[in-house]
Amino acid sequence: MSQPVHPTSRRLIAAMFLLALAFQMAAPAAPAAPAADLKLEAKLLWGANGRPDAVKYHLTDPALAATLRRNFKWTNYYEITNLAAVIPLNQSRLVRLSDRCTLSVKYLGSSLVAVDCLNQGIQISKGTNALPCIYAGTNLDDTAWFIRLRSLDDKSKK
Amino acid sequence: MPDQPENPSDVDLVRLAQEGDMRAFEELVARHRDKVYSRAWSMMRNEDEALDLSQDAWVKGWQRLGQFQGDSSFVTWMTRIVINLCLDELRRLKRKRAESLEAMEEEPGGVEGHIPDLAAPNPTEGLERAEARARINRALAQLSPEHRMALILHEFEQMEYKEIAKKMKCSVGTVMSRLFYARRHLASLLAGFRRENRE
Amino acid sequence: MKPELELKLQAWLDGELPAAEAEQARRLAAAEPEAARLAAELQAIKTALLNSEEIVAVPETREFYWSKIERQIQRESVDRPLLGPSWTERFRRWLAPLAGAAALAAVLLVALNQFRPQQTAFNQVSGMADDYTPRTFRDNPSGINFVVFQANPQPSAVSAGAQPVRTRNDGSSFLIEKE
Repeated sequence: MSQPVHPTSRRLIAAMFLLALAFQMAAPAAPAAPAADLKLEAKLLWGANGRPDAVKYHLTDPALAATLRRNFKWTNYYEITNLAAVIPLNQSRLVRLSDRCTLSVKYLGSSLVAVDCLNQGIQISKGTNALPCIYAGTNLDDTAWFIRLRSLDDKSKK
Repeated sequence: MPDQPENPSDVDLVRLAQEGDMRAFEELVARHRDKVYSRAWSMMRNEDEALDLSQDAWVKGWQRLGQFQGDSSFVTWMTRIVINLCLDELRRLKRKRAESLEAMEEEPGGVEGHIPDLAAPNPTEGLERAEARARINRALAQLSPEHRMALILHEFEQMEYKEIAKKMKCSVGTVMSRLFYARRHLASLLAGFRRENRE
Repeated sequence: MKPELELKLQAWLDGELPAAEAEQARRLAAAEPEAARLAAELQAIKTALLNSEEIVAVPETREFYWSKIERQIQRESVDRPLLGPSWTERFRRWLAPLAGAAALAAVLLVALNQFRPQQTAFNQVSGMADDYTPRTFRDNPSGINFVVFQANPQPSAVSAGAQPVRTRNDGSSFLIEKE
């Protein structure tokens, strides 16, 4: 006949069990397998104050405009190009936003992309970013350009 | 002093130079200086810079002679040294302009590309070789440094995309884009020269 | 034609494609007139460049050119005395202990990564145009990571009257400032 477990030992075992359970819950879940393909949206925008007559493009959506106004000084943000591309994991695709601006985007998984910015074949930057991300720069006439990249599977983030 | 052959091969001269024979190295310089200088000139498009860089390359060649294993010809090895020096210098000179950033929005949206319409094929057909070379040289001079570099490394040094990417410290995709733009631009320039010639 | 196809045609002509893709490119060039014209143009340029390089002679006499090289070699051999073992030999001496330390660090890193929360904000960008520096920051309300290319201040711009650079809460600074 087996001996009954001593109360102290039972408490110890229970405490260890609870501790293990707490640790398991606190530890991050195993990362979900990355999606096979990235559905990328690339948007080229132009930031300016006022509404120049020459502009024939429409304003971007209010949420994105609000984000840009929060961080930059321009009032109006116009959409120039809006493209979608499907990029398989660990593969690159060229995304041509204008005749002079092409991105080479490689999907690394887990919302990470490696982005090379090319202007007429000349690389002006390279880096790794988490989506969503926005590249920005100023123009000589004190307007600005923006390139927003985001996953179409995560439209909650503007 | 042992007799030297009247016309020693590069292999013999390199071996002697590796043992410290400066005269052997001088002979190598005399034999191949035009080729090395020419490569520097084609990349820098400036006589003074090409002279300085080609001479720096020879100095480096002397210092690194112990590393030359004979995997390639000596002149190829020296050409690689001068290419690396030119690439370093070009980066230092920072010829890539930020106008590429502003230019993206000079004409918002409907930017007419600088890539010309497809030019007629055989841009140097019917020309004497010397004239063809001169026209190509003139056209190459009008390319941006990055485009010209990619073209030189691929067409004249027979490097593959990956090797060019490593040399130019960029991605293979960038190399491909640069080559593409360089070739199209060259085609357009040569077509323009042909039209000028007819007028 | 899409840029990807244009580059593929080029890669085909340059012999950079594996067999299956090369065949696809060949069929494209055969079937589409625009592709055929582009391929012809690219090939024509390749042909024109073949054996077209001009060899430019050194614009100095042999003796003068060599004298400068010789002087530089002698100067550098004086300025840089021999340091004993080459850097490769020095490296090899440290290789074993370094390799051991690296292996231990790798094991620790893997172990630690098991307990690290998944990285959600990651920006690592380098600029290739030296007149501009990329600056990164995160806009927390929207969760968007920004990369802003700022013009490097020119020497004249740092004198009195230059636009001040403001610093954001995260320590990054930018010249595209909110008014």
